[in-house]
Amino acid sequence: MSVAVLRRPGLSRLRTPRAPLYALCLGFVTLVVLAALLAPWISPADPNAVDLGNALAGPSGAHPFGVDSSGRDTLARLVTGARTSLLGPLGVVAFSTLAGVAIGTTAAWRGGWLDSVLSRSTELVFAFPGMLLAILIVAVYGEGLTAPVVALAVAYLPYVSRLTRSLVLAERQRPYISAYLVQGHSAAQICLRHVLPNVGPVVLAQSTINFGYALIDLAGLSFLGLGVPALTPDWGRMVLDGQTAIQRGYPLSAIWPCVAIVLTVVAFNVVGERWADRVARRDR
Amino acid sequence: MNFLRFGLRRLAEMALTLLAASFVIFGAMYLAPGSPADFLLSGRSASPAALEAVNRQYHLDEPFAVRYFRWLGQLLHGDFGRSITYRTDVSRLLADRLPSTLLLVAMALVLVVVVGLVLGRIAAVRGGAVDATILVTTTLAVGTPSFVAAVMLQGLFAVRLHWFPAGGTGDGFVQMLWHLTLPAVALALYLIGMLARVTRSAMVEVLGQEHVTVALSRGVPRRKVMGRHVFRNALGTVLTTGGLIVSTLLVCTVLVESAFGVGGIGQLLELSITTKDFPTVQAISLTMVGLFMAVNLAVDLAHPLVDPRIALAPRRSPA
Amino acid sequence: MNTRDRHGSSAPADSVTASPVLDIRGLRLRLPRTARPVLDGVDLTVAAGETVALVGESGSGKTLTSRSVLRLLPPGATAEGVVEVAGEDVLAMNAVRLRALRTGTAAMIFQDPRAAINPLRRIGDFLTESLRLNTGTPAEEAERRAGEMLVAVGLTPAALRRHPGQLSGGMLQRVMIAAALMGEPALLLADEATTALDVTTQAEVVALLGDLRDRFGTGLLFVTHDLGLAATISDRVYVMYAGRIVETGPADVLFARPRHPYTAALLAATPRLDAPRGRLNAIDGQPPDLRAELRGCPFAPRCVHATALCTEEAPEDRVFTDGPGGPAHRVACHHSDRVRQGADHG
Repeated sequence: MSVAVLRRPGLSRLRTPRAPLYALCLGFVTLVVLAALLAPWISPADPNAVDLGNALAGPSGAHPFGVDSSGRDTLARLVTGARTSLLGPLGVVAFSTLAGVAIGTTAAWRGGWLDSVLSRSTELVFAFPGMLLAILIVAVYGEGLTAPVVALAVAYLPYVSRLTRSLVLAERQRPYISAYLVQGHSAAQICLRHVLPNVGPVVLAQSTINFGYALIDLAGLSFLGLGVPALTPDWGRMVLDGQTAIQRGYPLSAIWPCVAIVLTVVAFNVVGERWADRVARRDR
Repeated sequence: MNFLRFGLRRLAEMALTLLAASFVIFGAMYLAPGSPADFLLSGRSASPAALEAVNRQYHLDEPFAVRYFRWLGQLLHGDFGRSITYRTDVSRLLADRLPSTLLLVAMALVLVVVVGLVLGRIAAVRGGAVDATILVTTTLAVGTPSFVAAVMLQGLFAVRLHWFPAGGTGDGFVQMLWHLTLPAVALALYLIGMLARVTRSAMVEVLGQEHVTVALSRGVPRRKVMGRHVFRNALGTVLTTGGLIVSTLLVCTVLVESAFGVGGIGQLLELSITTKDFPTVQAISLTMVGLFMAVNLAVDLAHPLVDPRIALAPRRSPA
Repeated sequence: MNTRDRHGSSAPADSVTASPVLDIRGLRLRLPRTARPVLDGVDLTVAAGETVALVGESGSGKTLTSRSVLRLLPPGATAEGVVEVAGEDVLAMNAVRLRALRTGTAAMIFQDPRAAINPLRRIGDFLTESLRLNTGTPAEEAERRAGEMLVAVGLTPAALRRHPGQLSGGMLQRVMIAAALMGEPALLLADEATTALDVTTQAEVVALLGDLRDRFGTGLLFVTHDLGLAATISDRVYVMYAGRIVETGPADVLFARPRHPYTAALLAATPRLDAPRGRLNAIDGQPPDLRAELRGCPFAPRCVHATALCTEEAPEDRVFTDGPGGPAHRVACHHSDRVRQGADHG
């Protein structure tokens, strides 16, 4: 099978992630996900408790990561912010994966005019930088997480649908498919019970890589002050808030969310790459 | 000639896609909830007469198709309409602000191409610890969004060390270069990492091919083999990322220009969105998509020159 | 660079007796993570104007032997012994001398021309690059010489402007040969040079190589697994098995009266037109694994004549001379007297 995960360039064909790095990244991903899930219980303080008298104070016993320019606890905002920062990309990945797999499978299985219509529309979306699309949609529909998530999902959909399409096309050539068809199994049955489970791991690897990119794009939108509402704790938003503090010489409240974003994206990339490699090796 | 026909065909395709994009952009703005007129009158309870005057001035009362084709017709004459916020022609706004954006993108592009190619080449040629170091560095770079890089660079080099100005565009070419250095680095960082990794893996792939051994067996010095064969052959792969590089640069200027207060079209786009200045948003979006497509076309046309094996096929998309 | 004028009319028959252009003595090559050397004491000579065939199964070490003549060793390999080309030890050369050797004195023709020539560069660039980059030959002069060489191999100078993708496999192998001739080599190494070609092209290329050898007085080491081909073109033959030379001698003698069971078995496994039709005799078993140590004769496990002695003790070379003053016929086998031609295997 000559189909590879359509990784975005820059992460393609690399065998770098060695075992310890992979374990480390997987551990970090788990940590961040747990923090997001348990945020209301483990958050050390109210992330929105303003204390202007204490603004921009450094780390202390009460505020181990310091506070921001409104005196809000940085650690609490980081932990709570993990929720929005991960929920958005999750929505993007879930939507683009489901729709992409559905479209890709249909296009490959039915072929003909449906395939060419779907392929053409895919190319139209490719011609549009995903982030620009998201910015436009936010411009139109105003703040809120739904609009940018849908916009990015649409922008990411072609990556998944094109991958699925080529995988299903390759899978269809295999002899066991015609064997099942001869035995009178329906196409939908074969797709669900045999083709999709075989295609799944590759798509999952692609979606994991997409997660990192979606996180970058959504955090960028909140940095612009678009998308996430102003008071919601969110990493991109925290960088925006922290920027004014940085310009006044208090970098700490901006550094933490920056670190969180970079590490999370790197961790998702490394894990996704590793999975893609594993899938590639399995197929060889 | 084959090349000419290929070029014309791609040009026609590009025009069609651009048309589709213009429809999407215009349609999205049309469907927007809330009228620009409300914003124009900024919440003042205007008399129906005033409202109608505004509506007539900006053609807000006509049907969709009429407005779309009027807009399209004006576009073809280089008329992007009037900005609602700035109350001038959008084309004037663009003309004022495009140069700094183009300079910023060009500086970043030079950085990406030079540093990315050099790093990737060193990693592939040296291998070992150098390779590992570059890989770890580029892994971090690839995980760093441009706005994070912008904020960090600003904090370190402008606020703390005072080596560079913290923002603004500057007057005159030299001052502009000076002001745009940090934004360009912030814009380039992610793409440097990406390009270095693409270059490295493409070169490693070529290194394993027999013609490299053959060149060495004929006494061609290793350094020359690296340049004339390995690097040269890797360029085709590198070129296919050209479209992605430029589209990323264009979109990320919005973030970086906002972070550094650079008065380019990226910042203008952000401002126009917050003020719902739709004619400006439309014009900038379309300009970005157009630039992006022009670069893709250039990449498509350049590819056969870099790799004579590439047939002049109508499109590049793999099956 | 070798400046000897070989364009004169030195008859190949004379040069056979001259000092060898290639003299390999006791070459032993070790690769990382292997239990025994891949090449184990290889001795081989090629005289000017002589064609020598090196035959063996894949994995026997024949390609490594020919590549070590240009010091193209796999990463991590360590070599002992002497590989002299035109009197100079290749394994002891500095980088500058090595490049001079590769540009001039010795040249290799590779198996698959499609893979051996960079597809993105023009034929002219491929032909001239080693001269231009190493000897500082001006571009026009190198180009002119490349044109002449293309004519010598039966192509036209117009091919200089072509890309490899525009030429057929046979034409590309001619280009490969022309490239090998660019530096006026004293020694040509042909590594399965005709294997990737179809039969007619193969015959043409073989004839061309023979022609060129006569014309330029070049020594030719022809690495192949094709015994029929080796018999037709070579003066002398070396048979290689598991990194050792098991038998060597004049081609006609060796093929008419093989004295090593492996050579006999190889011959029996080769289809022949002049023999009665019948089942071909494949050699049972596999060549020895590189990860295992070897004691005794490497061929013993597959040999019909093997005795206890063979698995205990590695055979020394025995020399046979067929007729007085004839060239040596060497065999590394304890039981070479028992080998009768072809008949006794299988």
